[in-house]
Amino acid sequence: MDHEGQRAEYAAQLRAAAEQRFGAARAAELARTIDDVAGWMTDVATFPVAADDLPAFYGEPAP
Amino acid sequence: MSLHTLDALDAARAIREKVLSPVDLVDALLERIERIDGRIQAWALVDRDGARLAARQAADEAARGVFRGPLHGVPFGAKDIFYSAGLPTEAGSKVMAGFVPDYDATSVARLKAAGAILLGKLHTTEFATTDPAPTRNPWNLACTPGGSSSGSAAAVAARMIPLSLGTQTIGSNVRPASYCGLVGLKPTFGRISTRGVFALSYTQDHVGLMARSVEDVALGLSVTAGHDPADPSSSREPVPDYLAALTRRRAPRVGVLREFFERATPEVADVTAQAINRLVRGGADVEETKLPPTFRAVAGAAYVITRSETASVHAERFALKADLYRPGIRGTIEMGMLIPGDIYVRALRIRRQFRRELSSLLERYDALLTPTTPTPAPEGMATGDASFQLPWSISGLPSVTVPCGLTTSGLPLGVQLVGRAFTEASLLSAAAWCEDVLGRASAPSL
Repeated sequence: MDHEGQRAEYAAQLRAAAEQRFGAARAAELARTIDDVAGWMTDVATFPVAADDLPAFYGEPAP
Repeated sequence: MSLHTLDALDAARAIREKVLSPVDLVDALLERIERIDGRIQAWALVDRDGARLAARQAADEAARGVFRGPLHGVPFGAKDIFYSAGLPTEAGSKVMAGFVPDYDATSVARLKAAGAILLGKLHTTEFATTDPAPTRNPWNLACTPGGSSSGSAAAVAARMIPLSLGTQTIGSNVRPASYCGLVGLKPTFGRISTRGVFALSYTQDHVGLMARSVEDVALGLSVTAGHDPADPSSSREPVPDYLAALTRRRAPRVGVLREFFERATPEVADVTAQAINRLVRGGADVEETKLPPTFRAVAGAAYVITRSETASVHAERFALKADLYRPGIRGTIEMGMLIPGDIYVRALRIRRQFRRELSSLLERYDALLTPTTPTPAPEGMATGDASFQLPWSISGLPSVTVPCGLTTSGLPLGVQLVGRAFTEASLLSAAAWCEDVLGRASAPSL
């Protein structure tokens, strides 16, 4: 899926989740924020990360 | 010289030499606050009685030759998300109205242990996010001082205190410092304890410092840095003598990140380029360089991480008091609740990859350099663009801003230096060298 398609899919998922959790009216108020978050999620999901790249943890020593 | 213009190191020296009383210094600053803070609105709370009591104790001790530490008798302020025993800590929010912690944040406690006097609490945006504080920029009251550490920056710039504590999760310490013509440091993640600081994002919150000189920031760091067993993110890296490091200042090797100039206004790019030319004439070894490929994903990763963690921080309170939250923080929490776990973890992996790539790049330089902000302080209440701080917040690497000039409309601008993890000593040394070359910011007219 291309970047825009992925973003649209995430936006639809977030909108549905917001309606379920906060109600339709609040989900509508969050429309612009939902689009922003969908964009950030897409940037993260589509960026290549090596399989052996683990997340950072507390107390990690300086690289 | 008027006492309110004294920097922290000068005041500490004068107190130690018994030519200045902490009582006179505190009274002068309280008078200054009384006179001008109606226009600036930097303070959420001024602890007049507590500060005067502490000043009298400091004066008595000094008379007996007893000095608690290098900041004996020197006043400071703390952003109102730092716990302060017996004083309200409300985080700029109705949600926290009336909350009075029974202990000091570790950074506040360490400053007090070094003899510093807490003058009061400084305005913050709500829970250090985007809903603005009432604070105005001392250089132009129509402009924001930046945020979220709005009061921390404005109070130091307006000569109401010489030193303040702020925080930075995305861009909240270095940016307001620059908007207000100050030196601002965001140290390496884990360098200063965040215990007793109201969390915004557990794995990206940094305690920062603001002052009017690199020396004062180094002094503040020397007192606040170091391991805190009560903070799981606190580092065990040894704490060097940051002030001593400034005596070894020399022209640094600097990597200039050109892409930031392309995202700045022409005037910001021009003033910064002039500053770089002065650094080169002063002997700095400057070359252009580029950020690693992961830079493309770090904004998304940073916002995914902070929103997810903010939702976790506020989960219980939000369930009970959602209506008391202002719109910005409320939307942040709600969206954080909806971000899937796999995306959050992927963002953490991107963060580590970026930090590793940046660290490789930094092996070639003493510091990377950018304009501190893409614009000067904007007019209005919105706290400005944090994008020039975000890469160093997400990577946890130390960054510092030093003033580099004024716009034609008289607003301060800065250059931002970024160093390797836990190299604050050499980073501050480079910053002090740049400060020597570029000169310190003047004072705003008030």
